Amino acid sequence: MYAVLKWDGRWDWLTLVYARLALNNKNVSISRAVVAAGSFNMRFSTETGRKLEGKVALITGAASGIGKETAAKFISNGARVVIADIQHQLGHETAKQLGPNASFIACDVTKESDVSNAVDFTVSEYNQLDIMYNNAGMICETSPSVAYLDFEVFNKVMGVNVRGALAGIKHSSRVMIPRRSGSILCTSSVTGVMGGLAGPSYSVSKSAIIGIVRSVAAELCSYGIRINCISPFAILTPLLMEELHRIYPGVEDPQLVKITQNTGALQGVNCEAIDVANAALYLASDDAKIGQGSAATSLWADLPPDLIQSISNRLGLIDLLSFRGVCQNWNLASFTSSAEIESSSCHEPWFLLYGGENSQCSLVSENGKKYLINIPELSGGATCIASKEGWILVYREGSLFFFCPSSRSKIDLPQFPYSVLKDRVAAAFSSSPTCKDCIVSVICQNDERDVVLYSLSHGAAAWTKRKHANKYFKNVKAAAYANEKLYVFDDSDTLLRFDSEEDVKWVGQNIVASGGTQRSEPLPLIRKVSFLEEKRIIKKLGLQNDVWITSCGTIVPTDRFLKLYFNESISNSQESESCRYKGVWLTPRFHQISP
Amino acid sequence: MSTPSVSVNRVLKLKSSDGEIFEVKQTVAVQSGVLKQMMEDGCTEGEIPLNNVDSPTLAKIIEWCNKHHDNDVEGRVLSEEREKEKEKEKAADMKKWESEFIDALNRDEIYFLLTGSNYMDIKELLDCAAQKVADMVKGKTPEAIREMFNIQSDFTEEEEEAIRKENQWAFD
Repeated sequence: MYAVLKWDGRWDWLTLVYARLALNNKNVSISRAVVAAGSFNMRFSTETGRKLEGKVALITGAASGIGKETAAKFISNGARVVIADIQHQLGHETAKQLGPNASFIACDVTKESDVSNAVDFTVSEYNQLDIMYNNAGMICETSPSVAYLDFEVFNKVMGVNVRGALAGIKHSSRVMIPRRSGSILCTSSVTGVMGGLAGPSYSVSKSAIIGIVRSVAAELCSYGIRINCISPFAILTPLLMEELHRIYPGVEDPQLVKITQNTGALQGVNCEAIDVANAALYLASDDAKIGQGSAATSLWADLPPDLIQSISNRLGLIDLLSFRGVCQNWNLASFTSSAEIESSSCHEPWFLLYGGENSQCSLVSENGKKYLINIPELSGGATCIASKEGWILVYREGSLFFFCPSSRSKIDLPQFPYSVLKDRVAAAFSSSPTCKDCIVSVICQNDERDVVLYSLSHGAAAWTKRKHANKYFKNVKAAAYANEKLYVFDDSDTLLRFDSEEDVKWVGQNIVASGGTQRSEPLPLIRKVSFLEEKRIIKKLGLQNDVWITSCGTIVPTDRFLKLYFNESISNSQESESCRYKGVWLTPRFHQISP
Repeated sequence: MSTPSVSVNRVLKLKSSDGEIFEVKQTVAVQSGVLKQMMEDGCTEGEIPLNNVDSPTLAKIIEWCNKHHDNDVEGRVLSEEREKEKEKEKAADMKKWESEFIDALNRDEIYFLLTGSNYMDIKELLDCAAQKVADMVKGKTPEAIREMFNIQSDFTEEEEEAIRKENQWAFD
């Protein structure tokens, strides 16, 4: 016994038990319980997982060996366990030893009524049965040759190992199917998987268990019930040791242990009851939800593109961003969703507040959610003068550049010949600055209310300048491209229309037709003039009193019209010393320009 | 008065990828675009193999279709106003049933439901499953999503960096 202990530091109580068992063959049950107690507690006191919280398990053959180890494992993971065993006294002792969450019921698995009874007992005691572990089994005297097969022994083995397991499956299914959940486990054996490791009777019985599990899995999984079997290698349980002694009479225990374990392929690692218990815990717990070996876990990454799209189409912009960052496949497949969502008409613009003391900006999404982001490009007195399709046109320190706040892309424009900030200003660009036909127009107005248009075509090296004097046009408020024409609005319902680059002609148009005498085309735009107020932006930003926000509008396509959000300013204070911020409406986009 | 190819009492025999046979009324099966097409083409004799749908998934799909069919054929003899009211009630009940149906599934079951309904062309079910996945994704970082669906990142370091930059929006 002591020799065994020293042999390998890993020896656990089971081995210890077998050593004692072998020495003291007639007095099996008592010494087992005594020897086991000490190290048993030590082993499990450190286990803190609660994978089976609230679950109820019934384990056959749990008075000793694999079944007992598994019962202890389940209990330490929060389960309540019914120990069903043919060994009454030992079963009671084991239940006592495992504490208040274990109870014992006598059960001979060869009697269907016993198994049925055990299931009913469990349900009446605990109201449910979540895990059924058909573990009870027997080893038979092996006749090495099939030519001398003893059918009496064969029938006995089949009765315990196969019929017993099948009875357990039958009666646990009876209570699990109505609840449409549960996990059934069976103990098979490596001898049921490979030939030549044990005599035919035992091998056949263990092989049959694998067959049963396979055949009933198809039905049970349709009810959400999992069924699996564990096929352990030779484990030195009391059962096996007895058998080994019969095969090798007179051989000492350490030798028997060596003989058994040296058969394994994985050197230095021995299969122990605790390993089976761990496997059982995994299969019984929700960790094994996908059990039945049907679903490999990497499937999601390879979801067909149209299905990825059907998911990504349902996401808002921020969530779509995360979605796109998951893996290449999801990224590629969701690109059209990005495009769709970005061009979608049902989206209101978001509001970006900047111009505080540092580069910290606040963003309010269309559904009122607030984000904080750091945008250095908008610090240092920068001013947005136009916004469209996720791009903003920024004026800072004498230069103009395009900036996409979401992707942080920046496109510098040629030196701007005029100081924008001195005057009333509006600006517009015809399309995304990455498009070849993009035209940028900046409309400035001096004190004499002369309108000066600076424009720049994509790829041009310098701005062109055109001047226009119009006594009806008041203070410039907004500009937008619609139907390839540039519309410039003042603050009193007058607009100027600039038809094309060649046709340098301004068309004055009064938006409110008076008495039908004035010929006026319908506007392709809907104007939004006090959107800051309407969206209660100051409140949404959580700003304290005394703020003054000057904001740049944007243009958003809707189903039939373009919606033009005017440049405006808002204040919640009469004080002249209120805190000044700038803001811009934008429709976020997440594309990056190719280098 | 039904079309000759779809009769109320006839059943289709659907064979799942793992060989299980499911019997489905034709009137229920029309919810699947694929089966509907087959019925119109008159080629639904014998077992119809559905090689991309395993039996647990097919059971779920049929459960869905049966439920939606039952909902459709219930009484139609009420007054117009009462009918409207009833419709509203039924729609709410169905929404509840659908969400309970989909919430009871784990993520891999949803995967197979998604691919299965796509294969069988059952739009409403596909929408429901896709919406469920979208709801699972919402508010999560790419890392959390990867963990949830057991996906390994296959981006290069530069791409990862770009993603982090983009996501400053979402998770600062």
